[in-house]
Amino acid sequence: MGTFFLGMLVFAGLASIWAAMTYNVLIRMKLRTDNAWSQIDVQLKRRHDLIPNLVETAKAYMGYENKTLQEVIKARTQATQAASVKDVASSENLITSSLRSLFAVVESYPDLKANQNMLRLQEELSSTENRISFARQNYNDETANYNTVVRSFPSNLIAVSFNFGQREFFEIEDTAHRETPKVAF
Amino acid sequence: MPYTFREAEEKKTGAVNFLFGFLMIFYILSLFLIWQAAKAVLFLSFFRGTVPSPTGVHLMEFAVISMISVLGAFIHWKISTAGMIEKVALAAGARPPDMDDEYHRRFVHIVEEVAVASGRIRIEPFLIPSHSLNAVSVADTGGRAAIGVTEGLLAALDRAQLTAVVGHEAAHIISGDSLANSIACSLFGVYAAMLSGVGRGLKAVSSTGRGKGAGSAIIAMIVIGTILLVVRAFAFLVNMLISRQAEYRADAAAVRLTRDPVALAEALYIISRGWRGGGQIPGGIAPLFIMDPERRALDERDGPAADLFSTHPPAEKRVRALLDMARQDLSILESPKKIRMKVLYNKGIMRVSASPAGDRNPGMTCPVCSSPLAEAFYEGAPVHTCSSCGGMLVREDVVPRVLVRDEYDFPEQVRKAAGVIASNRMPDVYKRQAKGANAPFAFNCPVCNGKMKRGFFSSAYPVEVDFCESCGLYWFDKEELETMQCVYELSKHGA
Repeated sequence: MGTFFLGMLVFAGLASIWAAMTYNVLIRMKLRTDNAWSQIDVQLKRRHDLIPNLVETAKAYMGYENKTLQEVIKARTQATQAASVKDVASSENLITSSLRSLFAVVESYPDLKANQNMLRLQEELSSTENRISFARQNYNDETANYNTVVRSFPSNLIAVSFNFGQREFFEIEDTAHRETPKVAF
Repeated sequence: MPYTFREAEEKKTGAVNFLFGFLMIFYILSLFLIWQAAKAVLFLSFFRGTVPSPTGVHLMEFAVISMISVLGAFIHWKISTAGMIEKVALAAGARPPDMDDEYHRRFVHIVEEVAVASGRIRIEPFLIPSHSLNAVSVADTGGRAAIGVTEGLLAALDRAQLTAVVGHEAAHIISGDSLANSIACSLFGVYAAMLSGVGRGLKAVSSTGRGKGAGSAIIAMIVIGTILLVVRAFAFLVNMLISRQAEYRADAAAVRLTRDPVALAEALYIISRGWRGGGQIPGGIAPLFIMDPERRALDERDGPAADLFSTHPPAEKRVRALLDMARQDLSILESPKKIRMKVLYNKGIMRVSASPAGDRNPGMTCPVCSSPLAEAFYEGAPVHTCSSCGGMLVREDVVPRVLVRDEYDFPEQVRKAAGVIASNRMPDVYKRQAKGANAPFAFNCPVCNGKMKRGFFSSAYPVEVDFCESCGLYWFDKEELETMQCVYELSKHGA
């Protein structure tokens, strides 16, 4: 009888040590995904701050009423109000595509294209675009690691009992955008 | 994940301890040898005939030698690892980026982008004013890290390729290779680099000077040469500790960071074909670079000897491994379209474009026609231009940057003039009319109003220009700078 209890005690002790360690692993990974998410946020904010400048520069050449310009402004307003991962992802995709069409339109305004301010903004924006995609890549990597631990046995027992939910991935709409910006040769 | 933060940290301390152990063993062995030699000499001179057996060592002797060695190693370590980034930067002749320069700005952006991709590290960017093609990473024990590229590399690579190269260097920093290599190079290599610079200077003095100065210079040269030999030997030993496998690993990790194996393969291909700074970048810090500055046969070889003595693996193997990741082969690099794949991000714009603050009159007037000079960009570098005569005022440190950049084609008359200059180089004329000879009608410097000197830019670029020595400013009349760029391009292609 004594040995049985002793065995139970040892087992319970080991189990609680394992539970504590797993809990700590989960917490650490969760914090890392949070941190990766805030990195994305920083970069998105950077892009939101750049857009008004871009609009200012562009409207002098193409007029404020230009449709593509209006779309960029609309997309930005929408993006600043998004909250959940899904909303942020979809509104940012909208900004990305509207900026793409804006830069396509800029091609037909030679003066605007040659404007040094515009060139500098374009460089800033493409850098920010890369940062967003790198931050997203980092967030998705961390999220994948975290979700694996949350869902796999036996760590999922701890995850369920302490309410560690799965994280959403930051998705982009099509695979063409997934690549790092590459320039056509 | 292969490189979690914790793993990287553990690996760092491991490598650092290993290096300290190596340094200590080196001190113990060398002190022991010196002591044995001293003992033998002493006994020989004082007690003729009774030479002690060299193997007979007392415990006390060994303890004292060990203690002195540990102390020596510790002091050497402390001195060498303090301010490592600055020392390596000094040895490489590095400069901070100029944020008014479009190329530098793009490089700074790329370093920040890669830092975001890594999710955690902070990296300081710096530039090496050389037209060679190479990149370097340095890290120190305090957690600081820096990535440097040469001006030549900035001009030769497009954005994706440069991102891949910076990714490679960032991978070295994350994995801790950079720290280990920085320490390894700081222990001996950096001193070798500095001493060889002093040695070169003295050589110049002793070969041109006469009398007493030259004599003492020769003595100093011999002393420095001896020290240099010893230091170089140990730098060589340390190189043996640096694994060439680290380069493959960093290539792979760079792909994980930037997800663009083809761009890295293209960059390595371009770097491997170009001049990598051999003769200019000191050999003592060579292991820190993406490719060995010296073109050594050993680097391109496989096998245990090459693995032991070489710090960089064969370029072709690296490129192949990267292309395999993208399921491509070497043919995509060798098609003529791909070799000149440089992307002109300012494509289609005039050579000179007005800066954002172009309207602001910087208060300087053209030395030729007295119209106001405007701030502008030439090949992405900050300059001042005169809109009426087409002249250009360029800072001394900006000229070499402009020379290596080739965003636009040259007009026919410039090509012709450059062709003449490149083909005969006019060495006699250069000798007769060295820089500093005053032209009869000298221009006034737009900044200090002093007389500018007219003469050849250099013997390699015998184009006549005006130079203000006190401000470090060059004045180029219309097309003079373009001619120099064209001469550079022609000499690069061996015309």
